[in-house]
Amino acid sequence: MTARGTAVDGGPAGMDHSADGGLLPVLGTPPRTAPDTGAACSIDDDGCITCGDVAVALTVEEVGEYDAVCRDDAGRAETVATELVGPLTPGDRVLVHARVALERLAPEGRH
Amino acid sequence: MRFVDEYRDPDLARALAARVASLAEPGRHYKIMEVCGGHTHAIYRFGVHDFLPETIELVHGPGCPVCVIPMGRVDDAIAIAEAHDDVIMTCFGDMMRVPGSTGSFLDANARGADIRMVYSPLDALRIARDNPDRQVIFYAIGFETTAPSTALTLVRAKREGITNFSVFCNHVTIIPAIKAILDSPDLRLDAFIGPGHVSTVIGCRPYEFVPARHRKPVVCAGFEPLDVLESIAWIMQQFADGRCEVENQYARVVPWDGNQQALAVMADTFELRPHFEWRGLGFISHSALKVSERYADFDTELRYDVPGVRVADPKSCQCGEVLKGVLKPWECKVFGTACTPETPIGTCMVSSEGACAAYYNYGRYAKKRLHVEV
Repeated sequence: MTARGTAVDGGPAGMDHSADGGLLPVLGTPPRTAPDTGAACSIDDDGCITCGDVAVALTVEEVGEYDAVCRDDAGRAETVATELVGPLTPGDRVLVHARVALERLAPEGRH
Repeated sequence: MRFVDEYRDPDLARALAARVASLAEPGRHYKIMEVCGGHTHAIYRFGVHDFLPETIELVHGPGCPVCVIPMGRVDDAIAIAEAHDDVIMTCFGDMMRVPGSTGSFLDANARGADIRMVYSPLDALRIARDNPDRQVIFYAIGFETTAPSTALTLVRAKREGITNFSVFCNHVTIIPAIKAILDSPDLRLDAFIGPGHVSTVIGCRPYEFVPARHRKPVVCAGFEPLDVLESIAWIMQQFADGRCEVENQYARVVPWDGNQQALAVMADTFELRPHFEWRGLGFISHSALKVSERYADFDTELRYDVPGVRVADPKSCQCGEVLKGVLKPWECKVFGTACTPETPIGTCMVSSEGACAAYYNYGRYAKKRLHVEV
């Protein structure tokens, strides 16, 4: 286990923006996503996403009585508790935090 | 990538930044607080502040779940874990490194305690199932984003009849903290960027007192850079129009009325504490949750003697001022020297959502804004 944000000679680890860049250099930066099913929370790299109140959007693949297998956009699967969002069907998008679905997302957002 | 790429478009960012600049009244200084640590992280990570005019100041709020945990509550958990050989304490990742007065959870592990990192309270429940001869405690932290997962875990523990599981509850609620900030004499704010994922659960209505009583706009915002920029543009538009209200920029995720199912489960499993100590903000009435009487069998504080000693922060640490937005991270005496992510003195340097860690990781070599041309 390594500490996140380790400073090294030449600049801070994970620095995404630079003097001439603003947003430009971060395009393509992977979003903070949940770890694979069964993995522990990580304090490597970009910090603990659960501590950070970070929720991620996942797509429902298989629906069970209280849980669903969901997959993130990077292809990683995790089992998610679904009791707080009501019945789901495969293909639904849900906002997930700490392996619990908090909200069903509108197909193309509510905008 | 869906829901991501469209919120990181640099041309749109420049257009939004130009709109923000055009709405800024010459000679007026604006102080906008982003309540949530996730926004602080996004602002530093993507350099959002570099797109803003100097007259718009972003003030970092107390919405980092790890940062607001007082040292005494860390000590309490360590005391329980070290006094009982059969206890497995579990907690989220960043909590492992938060310093208490006798060290962190990692230090306690080195002394022989069994404190394990989990990604979800449901993982702690699984550990309880797998270790029926041990007592498993989940050290619960977080705002209303995380509290539903703890609540659901309690429901499952009760439904499954698991008796070797309990919750050491440190969940806090965001609205009392915002009230405390508004009542603070140290700080003059003009508007709030409201939390995104917390609002998924509680909705937008709880913020309506801010414009109604305090005449300050609130815009609930998403966490991508364009979300934050657009929210600032909406705030500036409210100023320009002479309006003052709650708006929901993150409507693709946040329902105006929140998640009623989640709120119902929380109401069943938790009760409000009369008082709770927040690091930096002191004791705030009705600002935290405890396990409800209906779930008393799962309340760690009823199962074990909890020392409950109040511990003062180290004198050199100025997390309190940073959490209230009174000090910028780099204005703290020990920022980046004695206090770094590797050797944190204060909580703000531990979590990636902490203002100090976010600033240290992404921007400490450029304290002044970089002035991106828009």
